[in-house]
Amino acid sequence: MSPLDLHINDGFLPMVDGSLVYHRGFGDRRTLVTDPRPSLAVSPRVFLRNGTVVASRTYPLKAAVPPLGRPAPAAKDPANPGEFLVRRAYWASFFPDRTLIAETGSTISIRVTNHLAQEHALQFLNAGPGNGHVGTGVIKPGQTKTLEFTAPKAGTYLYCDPGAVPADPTADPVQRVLGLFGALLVTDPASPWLPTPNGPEFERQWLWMLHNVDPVWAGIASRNGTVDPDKTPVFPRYFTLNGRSGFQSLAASMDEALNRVREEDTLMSGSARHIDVRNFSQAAAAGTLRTGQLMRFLNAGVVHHQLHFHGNHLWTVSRNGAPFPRTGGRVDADGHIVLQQWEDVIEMHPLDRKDSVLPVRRPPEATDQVWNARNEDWFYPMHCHAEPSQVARGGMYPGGLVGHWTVAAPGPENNPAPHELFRSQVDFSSQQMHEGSPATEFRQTPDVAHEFKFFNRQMKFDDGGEFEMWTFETENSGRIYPAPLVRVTEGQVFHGTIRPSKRVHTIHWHGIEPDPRNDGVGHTSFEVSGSYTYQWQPDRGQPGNPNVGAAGTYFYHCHVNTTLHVQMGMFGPLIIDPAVHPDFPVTKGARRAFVDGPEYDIGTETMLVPYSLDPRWHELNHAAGLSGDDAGLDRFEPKHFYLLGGELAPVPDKEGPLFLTRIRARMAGGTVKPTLLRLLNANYFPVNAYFTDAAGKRVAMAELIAHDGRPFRDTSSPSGPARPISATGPLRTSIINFGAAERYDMLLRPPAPGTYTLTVDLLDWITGKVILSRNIPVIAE
Amino acid sequence: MKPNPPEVTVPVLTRRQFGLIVGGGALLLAAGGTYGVVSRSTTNSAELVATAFGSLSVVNAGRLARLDAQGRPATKSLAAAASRITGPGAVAPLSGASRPGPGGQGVSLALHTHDGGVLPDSGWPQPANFTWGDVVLLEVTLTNSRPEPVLFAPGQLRLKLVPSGITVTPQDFNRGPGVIAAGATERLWISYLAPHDALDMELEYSEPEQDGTTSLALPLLTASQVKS
Repeated sequence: MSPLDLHINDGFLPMVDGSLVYHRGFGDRRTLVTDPRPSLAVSPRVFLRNGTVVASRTYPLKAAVPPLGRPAPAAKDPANPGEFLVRRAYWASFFPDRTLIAETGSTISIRVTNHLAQEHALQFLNAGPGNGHVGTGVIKPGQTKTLEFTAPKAGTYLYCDPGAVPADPTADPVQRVLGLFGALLVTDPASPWLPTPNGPEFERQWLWMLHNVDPVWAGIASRNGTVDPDKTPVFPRYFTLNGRSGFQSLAASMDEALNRVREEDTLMSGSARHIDVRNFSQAAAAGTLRTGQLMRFLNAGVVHHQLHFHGNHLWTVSRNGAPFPRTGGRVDADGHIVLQQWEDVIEMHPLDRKDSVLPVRRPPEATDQVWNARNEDWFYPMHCHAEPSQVARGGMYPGGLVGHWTVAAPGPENNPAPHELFRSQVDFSSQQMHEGSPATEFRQTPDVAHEFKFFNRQMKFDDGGEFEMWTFETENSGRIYPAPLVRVTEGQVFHGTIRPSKRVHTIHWHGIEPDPRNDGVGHTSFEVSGSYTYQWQPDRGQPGNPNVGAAGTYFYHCHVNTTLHVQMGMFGPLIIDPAVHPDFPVTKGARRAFVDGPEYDIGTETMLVPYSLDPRWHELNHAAGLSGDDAGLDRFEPKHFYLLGGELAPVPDKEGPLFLTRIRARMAGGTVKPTLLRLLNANYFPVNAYFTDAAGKRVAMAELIAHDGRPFRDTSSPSGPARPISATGPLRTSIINFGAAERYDMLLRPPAPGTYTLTVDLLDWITGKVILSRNIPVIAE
Repeated sequence: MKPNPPEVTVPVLTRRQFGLIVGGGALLLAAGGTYGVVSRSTTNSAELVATAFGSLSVVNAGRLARLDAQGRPATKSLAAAASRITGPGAVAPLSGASRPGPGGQGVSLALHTHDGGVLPDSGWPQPANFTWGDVVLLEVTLTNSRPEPVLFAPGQLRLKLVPSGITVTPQDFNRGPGVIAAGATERLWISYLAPHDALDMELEYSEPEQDGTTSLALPLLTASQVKS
């Protein structure tokens, strides 16, 4: 067999703002640094089991190629009007540049030539025996080395130049940041629509590589200097998804060839379908299936990303090559959940790999009338909620790591509709559609309605800091911060009317999934300058059904210039309560967390909202960065850290910031139910929250019951009831690690009466080091 | 993304609906009315700045309203905007304009708060989303004096607002990233959004392989009202 030739080249690549930034990369031909089209990424290649290497953007090689990346459905789903059955084992998937595909049993043979003046290496992380790395070792300038190894087990892997410490690629990310990275996908050719023998079976798959670009590091490297991260800390100014940012990533540029590629290999789309997370291989008729599309996420950058999907939660099935169990589960030592689960924010640490299923199903909070009347594609954003990654060179929101996905217009002929194109990122950022007071389509009489009026004022915080804050108030809320709690019961029709005052704002109901008009995002609907009434209806839960139900913790926030406006305070908590089910009655003084979930004590239900603040940002104006100005919105330097929130039963009786100063934790027993603590990370950086006793020893007193508005359930039975994990094997932990916009619900289970401590550490989004810390007492009584 | 009707093949901003906030309240024009101001320098008087590959200079500079009287984008392309400066229907260049001295009017972009900021009394429509309502349009010549081609991208040229030092990404350009042939001189039209109260501006050039930037003063581009 002939090895695949890779060439370590350098060159300059255009960024989303039209500037050139020096890069290095593994190309498929030799090019010089002066080449206007340098080869810095290999086009997709497939290592076949028969020993040959094939250049192909799609795999399986003989499978049908979906037009513009969008698989056409097989037929209408007879059991689910308005939804479709997808074709089973039929469609090929497109893959982006830098992807290498290897069939299990194949030999990966790569001959690497280093054309640069420094030593480099090619290393496949975790692809060797015992989860070790396998690589070329040092390749001197001008030298060629051949790497040959057997394809590892099926899954996704990162390859990169590992830097100075090959055994620990996290230690020296410089060459990776400069562009020396890519992805290896290993798949079984006998079952190419299954990531593992146990599933989940998928319609097609998508591979997303996340990356960050630091022009200062690039400049040093271009002059053949040595980048020392200690002397020049990394400062990413561009954030890419499969190599592109902003409007280029969203296929909204005037470059039609690029747009086509993005539609094919990056922007998910498909017909609405019915799925059941207990069994992604459910067949309704021969050759058809009820399943979603598989997402393969890889973080090749240095930033802790938080991929938030609008429209549908995703079902996460594995992390770093380890399949998540469907039953039992655990919390690992770092505070991460190891269990298949729903998420609307996918947490991606640097070098993380995750697989999740995007259902591509009816957005559950769209009302029936709106859903039944749809006749066009519905677009939903995906953006990173570590919001400094949403700008390019300090501004031009949304100019960073963004994507979208599409629920196709109904019908078998569902080619993507043309959408608006832009000449530049500045045009895209500065020309978001806004309307004065648009009508609410299919307006109903609401069960719960609030008006959200914008206000701004100086607010004094508990450390003496005083800052300009922007947020919302409702009818009788007073001017509090965070904005007032919104509480809706499953099945109720909700109306939220925004009145932005003098500017343009929206409200996005984070984690709630209505139609695009009611999703509150400018580039998929409109921004509001007059008023608009958002309408949605939270999905009703059913006992034992892991596919339905909205009860849980959410938040709402402005989605205009989001990076700035959320930091300015334009958010508030949102809770969906379950409707009481006759099989699951509720004790007096208690409420269930979800329809068949555990009961908790209403009187001590508590919200904790970690929030950090950069004073510089609070002097910026409403539209900072949107005109192309470098407003420094990629430089978030928190100087203050607060634990906002409080007990939810009492109505706040004072204005200004609401601080959580202590938690009362019920000692449960008999009719006394435990305390429910709801966590919402309103930071742009991750936090660690952990419990200790008086001696400083960790105490596993947190029983995790839900994440991102969805209960943890045992989904091990393909057709039987999926009982709450709290009933089958509680997830107990002393620590939880969670990033921007994630929510966790936990029951507090103190082992004995007494006073404990909850500490919340704010972590740097790159180094992971503790920046600021707060703690409060937890009084078990 | 918002879908467009299928028949729209080049949907450049045709569905935009900008709100209007007009300073003074008496400046609405008939359909097609546009606003603009030109301050034009010529190749004879243009300042030449040395770069690593040769030189660059600004040979034409104009300032136009971003929106027309109906609040739509005033021009649909960079070429159309450039023709308003150099073409037969160009608005008249201003004469006698000079750069403000120390202490002259600057911009205060970073200090506006949400309600404290007010739209400038511009004399022409400003976007209701509070993005900038002026377009600064420059024609730049680039001369490669080297014996080999050099790489160039318009994004290396950023508008710099003085005295704040804030730099601005190009809004549009008629020449994408690529090479300038050995010994060649190329002309480039490039546009930026600018705040209406910004008078003193520079063009900042950064070379991909070099550390630091070079600044080139621009002729004063006042925002007096001219309609055409």
